Amino acid sequence: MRLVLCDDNRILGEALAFILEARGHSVIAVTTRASEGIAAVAAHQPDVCLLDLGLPDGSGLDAARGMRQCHPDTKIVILSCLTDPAAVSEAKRIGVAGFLRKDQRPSSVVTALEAVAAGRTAFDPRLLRQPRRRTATDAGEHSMGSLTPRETEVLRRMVEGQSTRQMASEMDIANSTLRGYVKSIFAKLGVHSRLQAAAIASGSPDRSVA
Amino acid sequence: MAIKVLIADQERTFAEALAARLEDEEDITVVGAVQARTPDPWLTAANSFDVMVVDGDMPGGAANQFCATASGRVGSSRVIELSSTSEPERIVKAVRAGAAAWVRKDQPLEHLLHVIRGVARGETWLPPSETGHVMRLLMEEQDRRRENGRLLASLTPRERMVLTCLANGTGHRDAIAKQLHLSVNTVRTHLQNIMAKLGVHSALEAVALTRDQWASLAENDGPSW
Repeated sequence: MRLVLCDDNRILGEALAFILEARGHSVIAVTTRASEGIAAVAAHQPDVCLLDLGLPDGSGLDAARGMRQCHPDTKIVILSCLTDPAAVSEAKRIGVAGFLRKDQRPSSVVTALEAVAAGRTAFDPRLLRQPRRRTATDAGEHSMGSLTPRETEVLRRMVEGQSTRQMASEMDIANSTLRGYVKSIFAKLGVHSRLQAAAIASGSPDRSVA
Repeated sequence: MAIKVLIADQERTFAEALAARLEDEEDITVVGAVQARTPDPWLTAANSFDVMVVDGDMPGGAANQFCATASGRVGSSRVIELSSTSEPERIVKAVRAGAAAWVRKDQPLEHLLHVIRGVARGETWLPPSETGHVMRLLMEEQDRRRENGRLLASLTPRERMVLTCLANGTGHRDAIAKQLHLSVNTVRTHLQNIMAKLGVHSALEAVALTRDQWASLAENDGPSW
């Protein structure tokens, strides 16, 4: 089969291209941006395009839409570390032929691509069993990940030891606005003081300076 | 003799695909390619390698912990961190943890091969566009650490214990007093002295001053002050 690969990790793209070519397939282009991927699909009309979701110049889903438009005969397979059910169902709606996770062996990826080229679909069965059970680690990551960019900025400044007035003036916002951010950070991290928040943000819970 | 390479990445597909490609090079042998999200001491202990390629984007700076254990083992820095970005601040952290190289994942694979061979010879590789910035940051940091170290060295052992409580998030003087078996008044005095000696106006600022010292604590198994 003839393929176009599109993943912001060029090293991954080139390594997979090596494996695919060793199996006798032809990789026409290894691209790292959504726009390049769409252009390559339009220009070469490959059988299959292997597409990442997080690309530097836009979402892979938008790229998939663009590819479906410019060349509907190219089968699209998403290869992503994301397992967001919304992304999977949106990908299906757009009409992609497969959705694979990046924790697969390369040989499974190749097998899935060959199945898609032969007219079948290839959705990682684990992606269809949702929602995923959440673990304690997920909850911890989530609480830090649930901060907005503004809140993250405030938290970073807290760790640096800045005072309310200093932060407000450097971020060019009112003291009261800043206190709002602080309150919201406390709620999301489940802490009651700036010291606790800083202790969590700088990672290790029980370091000693003595 | 072939360069023995160990690969650890959050994504199994990447770790194994890269391994397959590297194996194609006559002068490179892959001794392991694993999916990892946390620094596994067994991984670096069980494999004898010349160069380690590790995912610099693992959560919580795990790659830097890999660097610390790996460079402790082989005696010199032989770890290459791969990342989707090249922020100078992150590169500085990696270098301080003992990384020998930083390679962006959007670079051609050919470049990574070049870096692997260079690092095996004892070379260091940073993205040239960031090298100047990285060096400036390292120098500034060293000056600041020296100054902070001097300030922290002026604290008494008791004051350091109080500061440790603050750093771990215990801010209320009653709680500190209880934890250290001191009177509330004593703790208050310690707090006042800490602030005065460090020249800061809040507990948060005092804790911020100690951050670099922790980093060196984690790296060198011992406080530098």
